[in-house]
Amino acid sequence: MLTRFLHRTFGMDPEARTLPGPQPPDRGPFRRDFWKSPLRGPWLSSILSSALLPLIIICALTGFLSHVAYETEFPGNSVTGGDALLGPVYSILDWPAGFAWLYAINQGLHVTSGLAAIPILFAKLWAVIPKLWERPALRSLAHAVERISLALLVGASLFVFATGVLNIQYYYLFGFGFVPAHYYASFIFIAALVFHIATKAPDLVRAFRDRGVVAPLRDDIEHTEPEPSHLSESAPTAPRPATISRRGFVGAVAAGSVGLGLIGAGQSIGGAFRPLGLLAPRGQTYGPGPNDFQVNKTAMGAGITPADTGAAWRLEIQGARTVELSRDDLLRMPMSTQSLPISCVEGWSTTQTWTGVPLRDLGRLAGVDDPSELFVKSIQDAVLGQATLNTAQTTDPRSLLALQVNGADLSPNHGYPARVIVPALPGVHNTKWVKRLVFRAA
Amino acid sequence: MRAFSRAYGSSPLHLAVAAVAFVIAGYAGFRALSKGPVLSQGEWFLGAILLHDMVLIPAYSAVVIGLIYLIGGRAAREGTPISRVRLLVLNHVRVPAGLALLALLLFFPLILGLSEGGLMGLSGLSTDPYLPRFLFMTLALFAISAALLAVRLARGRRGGHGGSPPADE
Repeated sequence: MLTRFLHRTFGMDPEARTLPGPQPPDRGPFRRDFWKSPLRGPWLSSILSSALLPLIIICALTGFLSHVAYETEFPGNSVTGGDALLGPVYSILDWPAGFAWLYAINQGLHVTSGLAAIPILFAKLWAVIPKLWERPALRSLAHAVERISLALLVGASLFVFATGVLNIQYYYLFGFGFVPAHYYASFIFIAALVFHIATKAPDLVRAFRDRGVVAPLRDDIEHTEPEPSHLSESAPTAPRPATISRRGFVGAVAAGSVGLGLIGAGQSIGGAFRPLGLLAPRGQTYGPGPNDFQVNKTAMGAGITPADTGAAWRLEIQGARTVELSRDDLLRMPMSTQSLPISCVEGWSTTQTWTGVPLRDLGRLAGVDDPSELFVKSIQDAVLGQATLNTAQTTDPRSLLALQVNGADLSPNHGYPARVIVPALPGVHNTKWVKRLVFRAA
Repeated sequence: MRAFSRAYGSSPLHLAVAAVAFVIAGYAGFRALSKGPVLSQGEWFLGAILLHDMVLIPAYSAVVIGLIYLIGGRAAREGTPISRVRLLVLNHVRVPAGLALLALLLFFPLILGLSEGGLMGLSGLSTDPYLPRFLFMTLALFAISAALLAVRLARGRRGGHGGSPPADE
């Protein structure tokens, strides 16, 4: 049995010597009877962990998948670059273009599961806070190792959630780049979490065996008894009478989690659901016009001037030969109309109807019938002012250099004179204000 | 093996898995710090722990205990069980208050307009709608909670001495 193996391997040796050190009389929170809530104990910790773990797995997987979607092996596509652990994995995996809403769903899940996890994380940290103050502080070397890993676990989890929540609100309180900090802290989080699960899984199994998985949820306040205090430092030795049942506590946490999930889902699904994103940064609409939909970066914010995009603008296409086209030249080419989403890494999406020239046709014009990748450069000079698309993204018949949206010319904020729109591509890689396309043959 | 276990406190595999975790964490920490300022990332990492464990938990615990004393009356001060009605009132106050405060804690940059520069400068959206939305949401949470409380109090009164309805949530 796995849990028996885990218990034998990761359990604490009862005969281990206590680390030497002064043991002053315990005061305040160091005293176990300082902690009065009758709700704390292994069962409460276990039920919260069981709710938290699936959300963290979804959040972590979609987070790493987003790096696959960014095709980080192409220079200029990402700001994390150079990760020796997962970088090689990303370069093997090709992000597909077949299912247009893949990235919208991926990022919607990432941000929504992350938001929904926060109330449960807070509840879980509340449930185990007495262990921070446990005496003796260090029982053995193994115990010291566990406490260090817990510091990493708590610090990294608070760090990834705090930076993520601030980033989607454009509140750059922190003096470091968001992406690498959020990305590498998640490594610390997951490494510490795997060790935590290995050491604590037997406790969870025992708590559920002793008390049932959902049975404690049936007790009302009068029948809310403390958990036995000898099994875990989190259970109280001197509890006060219950003022809320476990059902009430878990229900309140669940309400917070569902509420935050709806806020995330509203801005992610968009359309008629956007008002659900009440407090979400993209829970607002712009208006009813053809160009009134979510903007990642406005023309002004990107430093694009009318002179850049006026009559003098030319699109340069490089391939087997170099071609220069004006916007009128492009408008005379055969056009295609596609309904495709813009889906931001920040977890919001908006689906619009785009009209433009298929990227494949532009490749043919430059003498590349069978492109293996496409480098796109914007007028905008920024960290992600360029992107390289993989073969599937370049050759999908729905991939466009869009000139119009919802029947009207693109507005300056949406990339006039021309922008890239590709199925399932991370929003920021749908380059706006395009000035150069470079098709590379297979 | 036995000697190791007694000296270390667990099996060698415990140490091995921990070592792998620490190596990955060390690598990630090194990569993150090489990408950005060491001090501020370290401050945020340690600061998050200290702020949560030493400020946030004591602060909200004190507020909750204050509420228990305030609404629980004499029973709360004497440590005897608080009456069912008072507990219902307590929980129908602290749950919506907790949810509203959680929303404020997470979305304060939008609600208080602190990220107006970022949101407006990049996306052309104002933070103006968020304070009214937050107040509306808070009001709605308290209204729903009050309605539920009224229903439960009425049901409790009608129930008389029979099966007492649950006094939780």
